[in-house]
Amino acid sequence: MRRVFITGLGIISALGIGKEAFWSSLKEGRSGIDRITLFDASQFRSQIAGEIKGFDPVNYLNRKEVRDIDRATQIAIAAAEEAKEDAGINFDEYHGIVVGTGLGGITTDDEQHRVLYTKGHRFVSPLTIPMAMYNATECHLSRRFGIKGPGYTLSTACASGLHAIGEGYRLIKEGYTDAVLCGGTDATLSEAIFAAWCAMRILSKRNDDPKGACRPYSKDRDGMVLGEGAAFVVLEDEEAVSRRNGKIYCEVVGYGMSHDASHITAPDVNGQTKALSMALRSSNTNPEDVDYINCHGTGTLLNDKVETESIKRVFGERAYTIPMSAIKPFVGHTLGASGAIGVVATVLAIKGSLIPPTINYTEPDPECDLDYTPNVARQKEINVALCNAFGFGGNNAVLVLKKV
Amino acid sequence: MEHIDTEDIDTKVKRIIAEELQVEESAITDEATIAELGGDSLKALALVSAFEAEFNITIPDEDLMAMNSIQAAVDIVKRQLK
Repeated sequence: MRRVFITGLGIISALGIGKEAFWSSLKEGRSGIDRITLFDASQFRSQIAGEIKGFDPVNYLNRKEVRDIDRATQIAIAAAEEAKEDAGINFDEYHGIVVGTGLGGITTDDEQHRVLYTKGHRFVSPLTIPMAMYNATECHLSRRFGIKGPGYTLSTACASGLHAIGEGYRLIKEGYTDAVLCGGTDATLSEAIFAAWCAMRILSKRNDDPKGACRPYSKDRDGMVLGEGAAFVVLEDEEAVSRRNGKIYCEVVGYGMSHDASHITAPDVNGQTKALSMALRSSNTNPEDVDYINCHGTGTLLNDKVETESIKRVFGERAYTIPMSAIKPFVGHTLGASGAIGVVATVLAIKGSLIPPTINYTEPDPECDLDYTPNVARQKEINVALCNAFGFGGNNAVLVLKKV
Repeated sequence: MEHIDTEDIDTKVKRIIAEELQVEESAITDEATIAELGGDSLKALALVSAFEAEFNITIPDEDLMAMNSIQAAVDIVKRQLK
């Protein structure tokens, strides 16, 4: 069986551009959440988000391209460029690409609806479809890097980014290609979409304390905080990477997935348990061998409780001694990017032998009684780690990473 | 705030519930629960949003949690209109 390694990482989020900015903030417990500036949110219940700061698309694209490419794709290009450069790989016509996105170019959609209703149909841009379609990001990345092998875009809400990396792993393992660029992106901070999230009453209302707003597993948690971001990894077959003397971060050794076939938004213990068990089984990992779990941890009442319950069901007593953490208090919930951002965090945790903290943990919750690495990062050698992502619609994904 | 008489509120609330849950108004008794009428947590959210828009009120999260029957929904709306 072919072995699959992670050889490059790229990320852009509320913590800035690049993995160094991301990792130093995680280590030091510095949140990137702030009050919204991309539009006037003063009338909304929630007025905070994980906006990307200091991103100028002109550093990656010419002015015409910037005008014709949705922000979700623009930030994906920034993250993918970093991953490619980090790996030092030259993609070729046989390499693959898998992109996950929860809502695609929905900001473009939103803008063009505004144009339609305020100016009229003749003002709607003919570029709306190529900008907003879900596979626009994949198309721009493939063209940019000359990737002409297996490629597709998938959308499983908040599990999209993790599914994309899991699918990339399968493409290499099953011999379809030797290298895959894979990850996730979402940039959904536009007014209509934000209003919809507010109407769901799922967002934190701690508007006066943006950095302390998202509090996974803490009893006083009051909801999630939205974010925008993108993360990509380069996956490579063992022989291919050794042939070009590339560096290796860690190995992908397993992948689990399942569907709840239950409520459209509420998480489900049975579904999550199934994905976690499949991940362990597929990688021949025993519960006692897992050293770290990068949790989905959104900071909603239900998610954190259900995820805790699922981990306990799969790991039994061992659940209480595995350190875990959730990084959404740092970057917000980046939807389709969140699973890929989780993978980047997990890889850097393995590499640095350091578990990033779950910040903003202030009050124990009897229903969330595991070791969430509260508030302060912890030194620990990590040999095997899991990364969870669970999406609206009932999609669950779990990836298993191993130190090499 | 403009005066809305009590019966009008009852009627409007029930009309919104009938529309959102796609049930006959005759099925909407005071004691009926949203679950009995085929609703769930998302439908409860949709109802609260519709009440807020119709009556120009703000319904707090605690009331959303407590909205377990049609009578409770009517009472919540009336309380916010006071």
